[in-house]
Amino acid sequence: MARHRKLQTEDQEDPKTEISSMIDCCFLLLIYFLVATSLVSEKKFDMALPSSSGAASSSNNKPFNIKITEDNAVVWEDQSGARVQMAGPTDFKLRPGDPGYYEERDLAELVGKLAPLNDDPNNPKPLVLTAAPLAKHQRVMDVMSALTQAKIKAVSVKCEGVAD
Amino acid sequence: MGKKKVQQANEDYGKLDMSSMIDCCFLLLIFFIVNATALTVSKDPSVTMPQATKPTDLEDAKGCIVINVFAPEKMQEFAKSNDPMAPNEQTRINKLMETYKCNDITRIHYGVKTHKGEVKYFTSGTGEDVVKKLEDFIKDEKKALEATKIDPKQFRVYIRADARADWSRTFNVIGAANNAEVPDIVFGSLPAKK
Repeated sequence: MARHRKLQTEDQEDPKTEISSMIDCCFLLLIYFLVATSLVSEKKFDMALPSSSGAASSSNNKPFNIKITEDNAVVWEDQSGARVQMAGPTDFKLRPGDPGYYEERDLAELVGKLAPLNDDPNNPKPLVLTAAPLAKHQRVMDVMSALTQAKIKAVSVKCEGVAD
Repeated sequence: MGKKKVQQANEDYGKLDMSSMIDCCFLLLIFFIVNATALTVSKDPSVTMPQATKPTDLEDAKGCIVINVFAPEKMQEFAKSNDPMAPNEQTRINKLMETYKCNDITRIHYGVKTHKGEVKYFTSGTGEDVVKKLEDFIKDEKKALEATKIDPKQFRVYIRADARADWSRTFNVIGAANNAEVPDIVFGSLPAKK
């Protein structure tokens, strides 16, 4: 009995922990956080509100208009007042990943119209974005995306009618 | 035979000390965690973010005054539909009511978190001047930011509006920001993928 106990204690004398699995674990965590931080980041659009004095100075120049109607159609109106529909009405039934969703978001035709406005960065042409109170925020973001693509940073925003 | 024994003993001796490497790993890990949290603004998961084809990166969340704009009517409508995603939407509605401690979802139009950490919601269209309330909130936050070392040029109103929210709701926030003299507006969005 005594001999048996002695043997057991000799076995326990050398308790080495295997840390390689812990290191594996650490690296996995590290990689997880790296990936997670690069994937879940929100993006943004910057917009500077025009000051009241800025609005007054551009009054001698008739502005270009982008209008978003109540049924979310996008209409372009140039200085002469001619109107062209850039994107049709939508009820946002498509979901991210559905075929045609990206095309609905991408207003390439509007970008084409906006690009010449940025010819002279020192003298930007006045641009007004007017949306109906019931137009959806997503449609305004589509237009903002087109503005970013055309490298236009200054735009006046309006809400047609009374906001609640 | 004796020589072999000596060699074996030497091999036993040449073991690496792993503890410093583990220290290093943990430091890296902590660095990335801190980095990740510093770059994010407080996100309310009840907002369905709009998607955009060409958004830019939000490099620095410092100085951002976050205002969530909800579309409660649309959320309710969607939750009652036959859509397979409807149960998820109901969960979001419950979470939203729990967060803002309000039993009537249709009253939660704007959600904010003050610098003191308390959550508040505002209702629009009830005769109360919601633009004034938003303006007061932005002014308070601006004052709190002025006490920090953040450059006043970085003060921005970060609008996290639901894709389904009416433009008039978002426009109220823009008006309030203008009244509170914070001219920079940032719209949150997610990148749309082809």
